[in-house]
This record gives sequence, C-alpha cells and structure tokens, in this order.
Amino acid sequence: MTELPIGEAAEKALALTSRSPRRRRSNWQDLGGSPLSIQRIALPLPGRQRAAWRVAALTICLGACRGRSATVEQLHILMWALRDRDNANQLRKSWERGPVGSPFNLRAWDPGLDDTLRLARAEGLVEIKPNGRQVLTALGITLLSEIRRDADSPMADEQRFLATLGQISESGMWRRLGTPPRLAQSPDAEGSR
Amino acid sequence: MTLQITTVELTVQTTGGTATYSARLSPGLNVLNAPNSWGKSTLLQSIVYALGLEGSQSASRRSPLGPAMTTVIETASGRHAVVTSFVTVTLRNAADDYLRVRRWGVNPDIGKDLIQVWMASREEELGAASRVDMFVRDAGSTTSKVGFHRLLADFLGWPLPMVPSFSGKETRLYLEVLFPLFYIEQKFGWSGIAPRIPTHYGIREPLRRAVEYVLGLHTLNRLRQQEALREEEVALAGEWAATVARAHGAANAESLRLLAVSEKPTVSAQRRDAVIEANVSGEWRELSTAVERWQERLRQLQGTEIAAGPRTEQTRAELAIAEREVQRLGAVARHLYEQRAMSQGDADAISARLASMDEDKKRLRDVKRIERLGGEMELPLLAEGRCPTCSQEVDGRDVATETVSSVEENISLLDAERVTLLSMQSSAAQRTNDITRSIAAAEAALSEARDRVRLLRDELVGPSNAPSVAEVQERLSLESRLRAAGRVSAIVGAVNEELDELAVRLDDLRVRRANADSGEVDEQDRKTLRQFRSSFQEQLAAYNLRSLSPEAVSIDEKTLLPVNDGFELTFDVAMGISASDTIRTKWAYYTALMETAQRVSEGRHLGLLMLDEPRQQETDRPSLAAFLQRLRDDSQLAQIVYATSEDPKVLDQLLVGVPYNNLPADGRHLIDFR
Repeated sequence: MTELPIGEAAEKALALTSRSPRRRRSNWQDLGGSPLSIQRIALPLPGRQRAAWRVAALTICLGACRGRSATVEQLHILMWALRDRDNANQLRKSWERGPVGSPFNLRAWDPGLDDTLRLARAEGLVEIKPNGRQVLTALGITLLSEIRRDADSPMADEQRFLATLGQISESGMWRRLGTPPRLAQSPDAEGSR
Repeated sequence: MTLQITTVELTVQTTGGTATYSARLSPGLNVLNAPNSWGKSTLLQSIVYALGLEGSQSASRRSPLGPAMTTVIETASGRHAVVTSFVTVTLRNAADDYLRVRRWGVNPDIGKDLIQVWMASREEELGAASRVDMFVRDAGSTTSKVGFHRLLADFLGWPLPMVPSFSGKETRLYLEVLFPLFYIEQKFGWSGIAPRIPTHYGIREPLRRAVEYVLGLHTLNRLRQQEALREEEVALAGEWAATVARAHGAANAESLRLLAVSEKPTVSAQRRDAVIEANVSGEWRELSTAVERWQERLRQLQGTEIAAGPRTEQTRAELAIAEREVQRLGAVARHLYEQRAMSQGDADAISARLASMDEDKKRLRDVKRIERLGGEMELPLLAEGRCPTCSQEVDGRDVATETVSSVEENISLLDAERVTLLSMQSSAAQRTNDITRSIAAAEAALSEARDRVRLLRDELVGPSNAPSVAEVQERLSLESRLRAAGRVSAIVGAVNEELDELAVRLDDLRVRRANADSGEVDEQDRKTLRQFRSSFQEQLAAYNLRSLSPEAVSIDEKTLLPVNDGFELTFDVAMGISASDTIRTKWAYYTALMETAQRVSEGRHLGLLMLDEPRQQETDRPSLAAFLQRLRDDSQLAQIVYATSEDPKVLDQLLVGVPYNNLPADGRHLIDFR
C-alpha cells in the first residue's frame, strides 16, 4: 500500500477524473481537508516467483553441485525442475534412464534465472568465476547451511529432490541428460561456457 | 506470588579464563540500570533460556542467547572465544520450595535440549540435592515424567488445560503461550498493542486463551464443553452419512436412485423423506409410478397365454419397436458416457488446480521461513524482498500494481480459493456419480432391450405352437423388478425412520450448543473483567494517554484486547494513536492483567513481570514516573524485573520514594572476568 501526500493524490485523482466522463463531475477541491488517499491494491504472487524463494532455490541448487558452482545452463535445468513437480519428475526420469536409447536430450529454461542471479550477486551470495561459472560465496554457504539446518528448515521437499540426484558435476549432468549439437555461441554471452 | 527468581548466574568458560555474572533478586521491584550494549537483554533472555521458554518468542530452534554466551566475549583484556557456557537460575514457588535449573548454552558434550534440575525445600539445601536431567523443546516436555515443563507446571501448581487447535483437535495450552504475558522483550515485544503470543503451536485464538487462563475465567471451561458438543455433532454426522450410504447402496444395486435425501445432518423441521426413482425406458420416474406401470403390464401379460404362431404379425411389429428402442437406448448411453467424460475432466482439472495450490502454499510458507532467516542473517533481499542495490521492492516488478500482497494475505487468498474449489470438486463428484448411476440404469435397460430383440427374432423363426418366449421373459423381468422395488422401499423406509431419529438428536444437540454459546460470560467472569477494565482505564489516565480519552478505551469481553468504540486498538497514526500512547497502553494492559489475576481467587499470574527497556518511543518522563509508582504499589503482588538504560541520575529522580533492589551492572559488559 502506498500513501501519497494529499496534494499529489488530489492531482492524480484529477488526472483520472479528466479522462473519465462519469467522474468528471466531481471537483477534488471541494474535498477540502478530507483524508483522501490513493492506495495501490496488493496483488498475489506465487511463491516460486518471489525473490526470496528464487534466491533460496538458487542457493540450494548451487549447494547440490560439485564445488558449489555450476554453469548457467546447468542452473536453468535445476531451477526449472524446482519450479514444478512435473518438471522435477521429468528430470528425475531422464537422470535415472540416461540418454542411452532415448531420442531426447533434456534441456530446460527458467525464465527468472537471470534476474535471480543478478539479485543473488548483488546480495553477495553468489559470484562469477573468471571461467563464467556461478559459485556460492562464504555468505552464500552460510545461508545454505542455515537452510539445511534442521528438519523444520525451509524447502525440505526441494532439498530432498536435489539429494536424489547426488552430487552434480557438469560432465555427469550432460552424460545423463544427453548433449545436443551445439550452435555457435556469442563469446560475450553471460555464462557462455 | 506464584514464582520468584532468587538468583541468576551466567558462567562462560573462554580461551582467556572464566567470565561470570551473578545477581540475587528480591521480591518486589528489581532494577537493572546499565548503558546500551551492556547485556541487559542477554540477562533476561538467559532466564528465558534456562526455563526452556524461548519458544514463546519464535518457532526457530536458534538459541536466544547473545554472542557473549555462544561465540565470543569482548572484555577490557580483549576478545576471547567461548568454550563452554551455562545459565543457572534458582526459583522459589508459593509453597516455599526451591528449584534450581541449569541449561548449557555451549557444551560439545551436552545437548541444548537438556536441563539439569535440583529441588529442595530450602535454598541452602540445593547444593546437596541430587541432580535430575530433564528435557525441553521437544514433544512430550509438558507430559513426560522427564519433561521439564511438566515439572515447572507442577512447581507452579498450574494444570495446563487442553484448548482447541487449528487442526480441529485439542492441544495443550503450553507455558510458552502464557509466558509472553509476563515478559516483554525489547526487540519485538513493544511493537503493537496486543501481547505477541506465539502462533506456531496451532492454538486457535492463543492470546484470548492465555489471558482467560491467567485471569481464571470460566469461559475456558465452557469452551471445552462446546468442543465436546462439536465432537458429538461430528459423530452424529458420521452416523448420518453411514445411514444414507446404506440407502444409496441398496438403490444402486437395483439400478434405482435416491433423491431428496440430505447427505448432511438436518434438523427435524427441514427433514424430508428420500424419494426412490426407477429408470423406465431411459427416463427417471418416481418408483410408485414405475411400479404401477409394471403391475399393469404384468396383469396384461398374465391375462393372455398366446402361442408364437397366431401372434406373428404382432411379434414383427414388437420387434421393430424393440430394435428402435435398442437404438434409442444406445444413443442415451453414448450421450451419458460423453457427459461423464466431461464431468471427470472437470474433476481432474479441479484436482490439478488444488494440487498446484497446495504446492504454492507450501512454497509461500517456505518464503516466510526464508524471510525470517533473512532477518536473522540481516539480508534485506530475503528478509524484506528489497533490492540490495536500490532498496526497491523487487517482487513488485512482477505484478500489475507494483505492490505484492504479503505472504499471509496470499495464503489467505489461496485458502479462500481452496474452499471454492473443494465445493466445486464435491459438486463435480456428485454429478459424476449421478451420471454413473444413469449409465448403469441405461446399460441395464439396453441389455434388456437387446435380449427382447433376440427373443422376438428367435420367436419368429421358432415353432408356431410354442408359447411366446418374449412374453414369458418380459413377465419374469417384471416380477423381478417388482420384488426389487419392494426390497429397496423397505430398506429406504427403515433408513427414513433412522434419519428421523438422528434429526431429533440433532435438534437436541443444537439447543444444547445454543445454550452453551449464549452464556459465554458468567457473573463471576464479568466481575473479573470489570476489575481488569477498571485497573486498565485508571492507569491510562494516570499515564496521561493523549490520543484518546482513557474512558473511551476498554477491554473487549470476547477478544480480551483493548478496544476503542468496539474496534480493536492498533497503533496507527491515521487513527490518531501516537507511538508513545501505544507504549502507555501496553504498560497499562500488562500491569492491569497482573493486578487483576493476583487479586481474583482463580487467577494464575506467574507473579513475575520482566520489562526490557519499557521507555520506548521517547515516552515522556512524567508518564514513566507514574508507571514506576504503579509498579511500586504492585511490588507486593509480583516480582518485577525492570531493565533500563536510562541516565542513572534521571532514574534516581524517577525512583524517589520507590523501594527497589539494584541489580549489579558494573564493568563493560554483563559477562566479564570478575
């Protein structure tokens, strides 16, 4: 909820009434000293889209990877899997079956990952290595240990799912999920390796 | 006085030696006057920790002890790492028994859930008493023989009652839920007007239950009676459902259906007998009408004994009709299959949405925990969803109004949507069941029509002097239907009688519930509440409440919270209530609660009030002086621990004429090498 000073609120109200024929009749100056306030309606936002959840999910994803570091491509798949139970089942099946005999290579995209990485870096939880890999900082590791602290800790289901994948290495991940033919990549793309 | 703290000792073994703090507390007013960061809150939190009551502040299992008791101490001689630490508190109860408790803050060999206990009838004998190890912060700590809170409740002489929980069952009114009425901690305790009662124990209306218990109100007993009546109604609903299911089962077995029968218990005035319907040629008709038709047809068939030969033309005509009937019933069945598939599709979509809502709710709960964690780790991004660079609210970018609802609001919204979806799910399931019953009836009619076609065809090619097989078959079928109709009618008749009896029981139950609900406050309770209200208002006037007239502020009979003109009082500048008046109201509320509970015969106040830095929001000194005078007057009623960083000279002036015990507050910090 944002409350505006009376003058500013009245001007905005006038701007609204001038566009609306039904409201044009009202004159805001007649309101005198009445406590007029304009409020923004708060709208719901699913948990998985909230920054706190996304950053914590990123932290546990990196925590599940070898050396607590991963490429952006790896993170897209892991974060996509945490977003939805069906996605997680799909990843688990591909992980267990491996690419042998499967016509598909599993790749996925999490639309919020870039934003999540930017926020996590700004908060000092994640940093980029010179080779482009994302890695947890000391603060990120502290957060990870707090999230993993006890049975009552947050994201218990997500942690259990990642634990079923074992420690995730980049080569191991591609071995299990298959390697699609690579297109030429822009050299300055973020996390291009 | 129910409980008195006689001594508090903090012992910290560090890499530089042993640092300690020790204080002896008196009955009445105890003042701890020390500068900021000296460790006043650490001392009060240590008492809370020693009693295993930190759950009264948060669901977190994190220790409430500060760094001086857990990680490192800073003294004049430098920084020293904490190797081990423990708190020892000695308590005295109304029967003059003594209890000494020790809980370790840091010790690699002793768990934090363990409390070491000594008991004796005299304080000097505690040293020779044998130690008993008990546990806290785990299931059973209020019920197990070695649960410390069971011992503490016994020591206080407090039976902890069962109260309604959110799960629909009962849960114990834990000591942690009562303790915030006796201790106002500095960090969050002074915010808002209502005491901060923990909600993680799942108790419904925990603050109201706690205040009722402390004031000894009878509403708590009546609440249990109401709960028992609710349970009785749930059991009656179970009986009702089983009876109705028996009637449905009997009808379904004979391809009949029941209408107008209420699936949920209804009172006598609204009770209606169940109506039985039979499917006649693909259409549902009341059973009595169907029975008349069947009986009429049976009479026709019984009156004529014709051989197949003479009725060949009639058989041909009947065959054509029967074949058309097979086609018609086939179309009816196909239409019903489609309807059922659509209804099941609806039910599947609703189930999927419910599952995704449950998942979202779980994530939102996780967000709350992460926010708490972010607060503890001082990460603004996690704690408040603010960008660490520009401090803007980051989640606002993802919604049209740029303002995101709080997690609690979001969960409430999901809960409301869930109620709607559950109702839709139940309606879809009922529709699917209805269609399934219609399909069963249509399939039975179709099968019968096919049999008739086959018999009529056989008859046309069979010997002409043989009796008409189609007619014989029809007769047998009609007789069977009439017998089934009789059986089901008898069962449904019995069910109707049973439902009538259950409806009468429900009438009686509703009357008893209405009686239990109506007299919620009896005369004794009303008298107690009058005392509470009067003390509260008297204090508001004495503390010079400015935002509202003290007479306009009262204590609500139902919520037991301060109200103004029927509305719960909240700190809101827009409502004209200043921050300092919020503090005055809190002083008055806690003190009035203590005075009332200690003066009424059934009250259960701890007889202890711990106030950490009560002069919040720069409340003016005349008000504070009035509050201290009140505490002086109350010093016979309770032990009061008053921690403040007030200028010692000013405090001396404020405490002129007030007898008090000055707790030691020398050195740079509470924990020091002494």
